[in-house]
Amino acid sequence: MRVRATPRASDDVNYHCPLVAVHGGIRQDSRVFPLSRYTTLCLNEAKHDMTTTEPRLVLVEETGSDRWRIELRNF
Amino acid sequence: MRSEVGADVLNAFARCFVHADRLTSLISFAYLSSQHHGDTSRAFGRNLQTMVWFAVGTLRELATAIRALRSALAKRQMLNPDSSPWKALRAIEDRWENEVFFRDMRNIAAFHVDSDVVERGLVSLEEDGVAILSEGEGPKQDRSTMRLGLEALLKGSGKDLADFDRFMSAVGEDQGIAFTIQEAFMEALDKAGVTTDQEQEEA
Repeated sequence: MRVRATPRASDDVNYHCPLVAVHGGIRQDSRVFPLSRYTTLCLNEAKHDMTTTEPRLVLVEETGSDRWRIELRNF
Repeated sequence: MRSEVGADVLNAFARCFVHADRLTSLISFAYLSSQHHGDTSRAFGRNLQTMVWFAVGTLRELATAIRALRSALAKRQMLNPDSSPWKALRAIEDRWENEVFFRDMRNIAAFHVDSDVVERGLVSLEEDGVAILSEGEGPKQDRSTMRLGLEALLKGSGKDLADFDRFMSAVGEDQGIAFTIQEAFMEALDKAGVTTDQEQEEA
């Protein structure tokens, strides 16, 4: 999924959320990536890293619904 | 009409009408949003928060307009402070003009979004260790919220849940003030001797 740095104001308010594009990227990767990567919004470069205690974003998806949240851990 | 009622009185009423319409619109937007997104959706939660805080800013401006209206009516000896609409309007004026608690809340969260308040909230979230950056339903921006911002702002306000309960309850009640302003207007017309009538018009 392509990641944009800013929301695209399209025809209506239902433009895509860049963070969801980001978590699409997370889904393709490890679901966890270092916070420092977030600033670039460049998930294609995010590397698998499950051991670090450094700040990271974690996508949490509710099973059975389309609800999701992105947590900042070690905030 | 302006000469009978008084230019200053009509001016102050017109200001109140602007704010009353805005409050009515915000209620209408909230209703439509709830119908469109559903009461438990993230989108409705975000929209409701936005509308509540915009309503708070409007209530503060309305209080200023009510004060001007009260003063204009009093100068012309047209004010009946014991009438039902004026008791209600005076309560709103006192709450949003004079009560420190309500002024504080308005200043903290309605429009300013000051960096020191947000900083206090972020520090508090940092102590918790985990914060929610964003949440939503599906891939559309319209169904998501950047929750971290509002959470930091509210946490940084130094107010607790009881404060917010008291605050939101007052906002909910005051938002429906448009009807009372119309009653006060009719009362003023009556004092000025302006007659009211009714006509039918072909559509």
